[in-house]
Amino acid sequence: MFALYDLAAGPLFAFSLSVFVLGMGWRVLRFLLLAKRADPAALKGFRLVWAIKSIFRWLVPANITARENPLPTVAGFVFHLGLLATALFLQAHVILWDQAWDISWWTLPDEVADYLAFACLGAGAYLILRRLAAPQVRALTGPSDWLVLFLSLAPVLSGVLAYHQWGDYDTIIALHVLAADLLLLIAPFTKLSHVVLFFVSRAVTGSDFGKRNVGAW
Amino acid sequence: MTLDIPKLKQALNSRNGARLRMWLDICAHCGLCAQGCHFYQSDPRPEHVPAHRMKPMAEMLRKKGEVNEEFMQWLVDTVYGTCTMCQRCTMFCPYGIGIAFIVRATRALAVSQGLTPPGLASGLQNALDVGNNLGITDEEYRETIEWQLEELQEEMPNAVAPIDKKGAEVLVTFHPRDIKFYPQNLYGYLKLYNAAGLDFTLAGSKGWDSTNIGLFAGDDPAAAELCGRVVAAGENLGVRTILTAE
Repeated sequence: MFALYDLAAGPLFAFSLSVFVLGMGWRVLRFLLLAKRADPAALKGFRLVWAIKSIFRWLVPANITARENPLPTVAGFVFHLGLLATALFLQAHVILWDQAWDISWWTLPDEVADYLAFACLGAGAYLILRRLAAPQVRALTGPSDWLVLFLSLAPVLSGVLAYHQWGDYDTIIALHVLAADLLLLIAPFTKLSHVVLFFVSRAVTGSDFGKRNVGAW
Repeated sequence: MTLDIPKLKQALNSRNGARLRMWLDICAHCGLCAQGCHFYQSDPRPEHVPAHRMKPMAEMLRKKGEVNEEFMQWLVDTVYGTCTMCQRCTMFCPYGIGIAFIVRATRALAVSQGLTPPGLASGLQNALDVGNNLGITDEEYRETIEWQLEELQEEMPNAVAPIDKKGAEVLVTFHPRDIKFYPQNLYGYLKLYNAAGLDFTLAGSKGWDSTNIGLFAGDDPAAAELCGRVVAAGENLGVRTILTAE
């Protein structure tokens, strides 16, 4: 298992992270190239202020969906925050960066990170139930939606198990890193490309709303 | 119906742009758009969830245009039958996906096969042939304006309704419905503009119908033609502003 862990946290991680970064960059670049060639109206008369307003309203959140659908909104934010905060600011993760690259940054207290991880799992459970129970969501759900949801939750779940040393630690920590590698690897090729395209899409739509002066929503 | 697959592929390629690809890729299938949709709100069927309307285009791209008649019927029913392209769903979408934009692109695929629904197709043909989507003749148009102006002059003796007045400030255009079925609306407009002292003109034979059925049908050349007529009318008369109908 140590060999598997070393492989997953070493060369595999380097590979996955490279694919993630380059892939996400490519998604944005491809949008811009395609916009120029096949969809010039997308960026014609682009309104930067409206684009920023629109992104801001959905990052905060101060929008119509947050007001009318508070529960999915809260679940969505807790899910994203828990996943991102623990991935980027967990002390154990930053130590690995420090050891490998001699770079380091601010970390979350372990206790807070633990709460966040559990909250993220709770939100994930809600999102699963909503997909099953709400007819308007269920009708849209396909296999890739389930795959992406479970692959996003796998690193968090295995991380919680590893942190509490529940189960066989060596196996779980290896699976934890592998799950994270896999998530990074598939992200640019699935709807997870919204990591970057959320900003592109909101910018384009916000700018469009701006042209008609109808509010950034 | 017989399908012209090469033509369909050509239409598909011309629509396969940056926004369309991005939006089909990132839709999270979260269903939050359903809240914004009057179709879903009044009849909550799964196929009334706005995101569902992107499926024909997604499937079409996956099949690279190699589809059959049954598929095209489903496409037509979905993008013409369950959407008014009001864009309310975009307000509710966390990514701001332009579902109406994709619906319109999908309608263009139907147009390429001559599958525009009959009601839209005849209105579009009227607009292109006669100059307005209800097929009102020039004579009827001018008579209706004269008639309403005369009625208005009983109340406002100095009221005017100039047609093709060069150099007016504003060109007033109409929804043909206001000429054919609701002349009292025309009366109201004329009363308002006269009372406001607006320096306005109406357009003569072409360019007074500012509705654009080509736009709704997803027929870009027709949409450009219809819009171009209104613009040309405005430019010929040298107006500063064009007032468009609802």
